[in-house]
Amino acid sequence: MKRSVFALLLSAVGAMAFSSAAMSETLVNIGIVQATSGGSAALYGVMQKNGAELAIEEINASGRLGDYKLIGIHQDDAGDRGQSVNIFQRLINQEKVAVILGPTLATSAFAADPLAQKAGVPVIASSNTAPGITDMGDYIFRTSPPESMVFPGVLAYVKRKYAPKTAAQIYGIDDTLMKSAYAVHKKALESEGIKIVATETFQKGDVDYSAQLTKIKAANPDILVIGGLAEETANIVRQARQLGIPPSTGILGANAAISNKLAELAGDAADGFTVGSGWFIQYDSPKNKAFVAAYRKKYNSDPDNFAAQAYTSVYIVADALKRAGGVSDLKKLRDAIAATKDLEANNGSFSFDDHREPAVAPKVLVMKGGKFILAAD
Amino acid sequence: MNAWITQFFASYSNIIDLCLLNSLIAYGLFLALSANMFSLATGGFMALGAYCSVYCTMVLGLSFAPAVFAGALLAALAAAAIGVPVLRLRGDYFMLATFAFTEVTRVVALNWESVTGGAIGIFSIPRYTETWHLVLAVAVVVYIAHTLRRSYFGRAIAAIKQDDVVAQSMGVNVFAHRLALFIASGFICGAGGALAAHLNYFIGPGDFGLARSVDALTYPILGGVNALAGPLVGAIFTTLLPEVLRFSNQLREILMGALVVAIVLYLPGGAMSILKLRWPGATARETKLAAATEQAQS
Repeated sequence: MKRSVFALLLSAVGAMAFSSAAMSETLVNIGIVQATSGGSAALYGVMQKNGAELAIEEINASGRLGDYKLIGIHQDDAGDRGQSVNIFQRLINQEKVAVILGPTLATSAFAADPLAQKAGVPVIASSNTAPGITDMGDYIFRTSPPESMVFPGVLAYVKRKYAPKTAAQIYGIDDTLMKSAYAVHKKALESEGIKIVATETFQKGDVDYSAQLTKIKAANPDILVIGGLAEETANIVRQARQLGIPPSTGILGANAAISNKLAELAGDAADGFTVGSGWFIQYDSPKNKAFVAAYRKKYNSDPDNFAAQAYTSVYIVADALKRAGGVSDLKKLRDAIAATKDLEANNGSFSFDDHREPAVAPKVLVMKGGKFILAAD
Repeated sequence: MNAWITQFFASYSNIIDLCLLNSLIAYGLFLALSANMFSLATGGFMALGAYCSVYCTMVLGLSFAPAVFAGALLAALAAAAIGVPVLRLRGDYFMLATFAFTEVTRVVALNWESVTGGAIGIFSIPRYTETWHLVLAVAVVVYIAHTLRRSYFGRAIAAIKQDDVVAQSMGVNVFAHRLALFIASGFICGAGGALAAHLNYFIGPGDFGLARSVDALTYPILGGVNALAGPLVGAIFTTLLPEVLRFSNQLREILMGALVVAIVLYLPGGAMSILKLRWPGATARETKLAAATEQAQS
């Protein structure tokens, strides 16, 4: 009995394979290199894998690509650079992918992206915000806006609201992301003529910031700018208010600090906390509402901006594939991706600029009652 | 066939390179372990080798070979500098001191921005390391380890490993032998760091921390510290494991941990002792030897 069921299954699978071959489908392999294990990188990696796989499912179901069927091949690099390179090599040479989405960490990108550039396979990152990513070559794109793209908008808003003359900065010294955010903040503050009266540092995983914040309080700045990830930022915001830095001193954060965890950890103290982002969950557009609903339905949780950016990456590929007329020539595909213009995406209309960076309108978000809302002027 | 080989190499060359690189470091540790030195300095040595060689190629414009040599030499010097005071410490204290060295190196790399790029690291490093460089390096190190074992020096080391007090009383200069081995270990790990830096376009302070030191220690221990091929087997096994287990997705880390624990539990002599299980001749010879020793002792 068991055997006959098995045989039946086998023949069914065989028939399916036949029928799909008969339909003359062209399979397009898409490499998804995201860390789903290995510490904090997995937080970002899982979100992006989910976003990308959701988009692939939707596109295949919609039939908008005709005979082309997208196949997502996810590989976990565990946030380890050596593994990212291993995976890139295999995806490019063995799986013959048309495009690679990822990798999760900028340090992995610096090691692995040159291989794709050399092989002429386009790469679209959706979480690398470090400077220099797209400088690696003309096949390297990203949908994650770098800090330098969103922060000027945040500062412009804060200038209107707080009219600051002085600022204090605090940032993580041992992390690529936090440190490059600091440099961007510093440059923007200086170019706006705001005087930096105190600069303090911390290390990843620190929990007590009272020493640094006491010094900052003594300097009495008009605004406080934090270059940190979600957890550190939340602690700093909470402790700053506890130490008596008044609400009239606005607190600004980095793009990477946006997380649902922030409100949880910082509580009421986070009210008024201001950041810039390419996407946020309440962004009001039919496309975004559909994305959020579909994501919730499939994964039973809310997407974050990394999931949203990975989702957009897949739609960019699908759109470019259509315009390039297939994936037989990856140079053509690359050119089509580079020419992406005013694509209807979940964060408004999406284009790539000349440096293959995302050109989306940055949104200034303010924390209110535990939720990020669009800043009202 | 030829096309197949080309494709295989294109798909897996980085894995092969990593296996060789880790083997090289494993032999560096093997030398230290052969005189009972549980060194956690590997991360620090590799960082010195990496940053020094990158400085040589990218800032000073030296060619690759002298840059690697400079990196290795700097790490060897550091090994000598910390070895002199620290090698007088025993067991746990030695381990702690070498751990401190690795941490200090990492923190210096984090803060010396003009040379190391700080937390952001150095990118766009030219890729000079070729597979044959690594093969050559491993071959040379294996040859040296092999010759050493058969020399007077090797016998003295073996005596130190058994019991350093007895070795000392037999006229072996324990300190000098350990120092020499530790410096050699530093040299090899420094060269490994230099080769690693020119393999993947990028280095950062996070690459050479405690995790690196512990990994390096696992290679020879897993493979077997008594057999010459032990470090090679251990390094290849540990490097391939995450790739081979890739199919298991979320279970991967659990499986890796379980396998390592299983080896430690059931093959306490390292993976190489599996050969002995399969090789009755070797076991018989050993039993005979043990019996003879017993006789001689009684």
